[in-house]
Amino acid sequence: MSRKKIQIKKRVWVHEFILDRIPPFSYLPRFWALIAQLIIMEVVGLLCVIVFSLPLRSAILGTLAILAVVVWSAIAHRISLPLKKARLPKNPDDRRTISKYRRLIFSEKHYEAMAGSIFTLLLALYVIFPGKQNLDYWLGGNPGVLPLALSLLLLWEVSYRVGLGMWTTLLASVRSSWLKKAVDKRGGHVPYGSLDYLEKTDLMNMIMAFPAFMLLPIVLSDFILLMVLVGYCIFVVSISAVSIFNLRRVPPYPDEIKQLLKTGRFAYFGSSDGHGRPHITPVIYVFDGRSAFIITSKVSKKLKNLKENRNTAMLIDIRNPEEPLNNRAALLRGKATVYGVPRVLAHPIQMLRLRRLFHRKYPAYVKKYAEKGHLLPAAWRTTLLLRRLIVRVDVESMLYWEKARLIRIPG
Amino acid sequence: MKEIPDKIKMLLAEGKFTYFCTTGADLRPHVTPMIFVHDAKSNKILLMSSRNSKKVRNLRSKNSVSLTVDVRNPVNPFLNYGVMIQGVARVLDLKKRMRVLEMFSRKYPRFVRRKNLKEKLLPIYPDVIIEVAPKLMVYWRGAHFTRWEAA
Repeated sequence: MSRKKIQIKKRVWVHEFILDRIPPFSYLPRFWALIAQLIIMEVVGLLCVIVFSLPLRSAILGTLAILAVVVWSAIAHRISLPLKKARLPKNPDDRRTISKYRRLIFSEKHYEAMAGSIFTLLLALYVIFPGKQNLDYWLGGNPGVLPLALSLLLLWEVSYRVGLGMWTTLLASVRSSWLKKAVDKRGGHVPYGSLDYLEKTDLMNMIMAFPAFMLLPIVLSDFILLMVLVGYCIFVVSISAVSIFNLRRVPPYPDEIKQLLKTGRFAYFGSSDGHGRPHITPVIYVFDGRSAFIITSKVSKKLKNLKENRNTAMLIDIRNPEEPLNNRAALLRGKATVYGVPRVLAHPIQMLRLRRLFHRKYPAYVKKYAEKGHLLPAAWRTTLLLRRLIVRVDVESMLYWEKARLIRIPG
Repeated sequence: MKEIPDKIKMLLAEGKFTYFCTTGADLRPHVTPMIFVHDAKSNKILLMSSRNSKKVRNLRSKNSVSLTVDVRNPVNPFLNYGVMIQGVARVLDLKKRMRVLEMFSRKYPRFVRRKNLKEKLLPIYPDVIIEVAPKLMVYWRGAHFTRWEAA
């Protein structure tokens, strides 16, 4: 393990420092540390409300702010953990780009806290000076020094996370742009393994907008604060969307493999039950550029296996019966995700896209199923959700054979 | 031995490739396309591999296997047919099984030449035989299924 990698793994954001180093949080796993943080903050807040006879509104608004802070911390954890654990790409350009991105995001200078500090200062000045209407609304008149100090502390906690969200989003977008430019310049691809976790980071960045909605009742009485909050949400969502858009334009596989996956007619889908007894059958499939999708009967053995064990292997090949040494094949190994009703409802655009892909790739099959589908046994009919389910395979590793040469594609 | 249906025998005799699935100790399946022969006398499927290959390494921890031989129709799914086999495998030394080599030479005369085996069987020089004893066979033609189970 390189020295730099150790350093990156050890680096933490300011709020992580509290959770990792300060008891009792440091003795607990991250989830329970966050719950403990939530309980302690809530208890202190409620005691403050009782002791200083603050209005009920203060308790409700304070609770919302504390909840938002904890949810933000949980999302931030989902951003930082994969970034620290991820293997760096083997290509030197991509390696440099991702290393630079990680060094900036986990910088020892704590840029994320700088953004939060500036926000806190500006918001504190805004809240305290122009007539204190906000403070009166949040805490009632003459709240006392301690409630005021706790409110400012909470303001810092919120502002810090807003700053963190903006900083991680902005950096992610710059990193995607660097990757895209590097690939455009040199050609080739960036391994899907790298792109996958980067895209997940972008999605998490986008989700960083949602805790802000919990703050709506707090800022609803002030137009400027409301606009700041809306502006933050628009910034985080739109910049993350641009980052994802740029990432999706980076090819995740070498051209010949992408071509094989797109044009291959059939795949051999291997699954295994919880005891390691394998099962393999041919399937039709589509490939959306990142993941492979199959449709299978709800009573099929593969679906039963997937309920016990999500690991799958899919082999897609082009056979040459005359000269087997000329065969080409790609073996995709990864995890399967079954699309039940909630997942289908949550991904309407993806469903339409898959429908289009299947119709384009297998027009003759679609026609035959439409004509003769009624001849199929009830359990094997093609009615989606009722009889069949979509399965997505996310690739974790890949092997490629071409003319009897085995080519290992780094994930 | 329970007799296997003729249509399965015929498919196993005519099929050129099989897709062979094993599972590692980590429960991750692994699939490879392979050439194979079916020994109708003993009803065993025989495949050649290298003792260092992933599938043979998987077999050391889990000897359950599955394989599929099929004929695809690119236009009409109702004309697809094939067989899915589940069974247990054991790994045998190739040198002691010259009869198996003859069976491969007969089925794949261009691919396997006994005298020139090392040269022609790239990418992996085979040094073991994987012998699969089927426990279950499911044959399909379109949406019609035939099931065979070892007694």
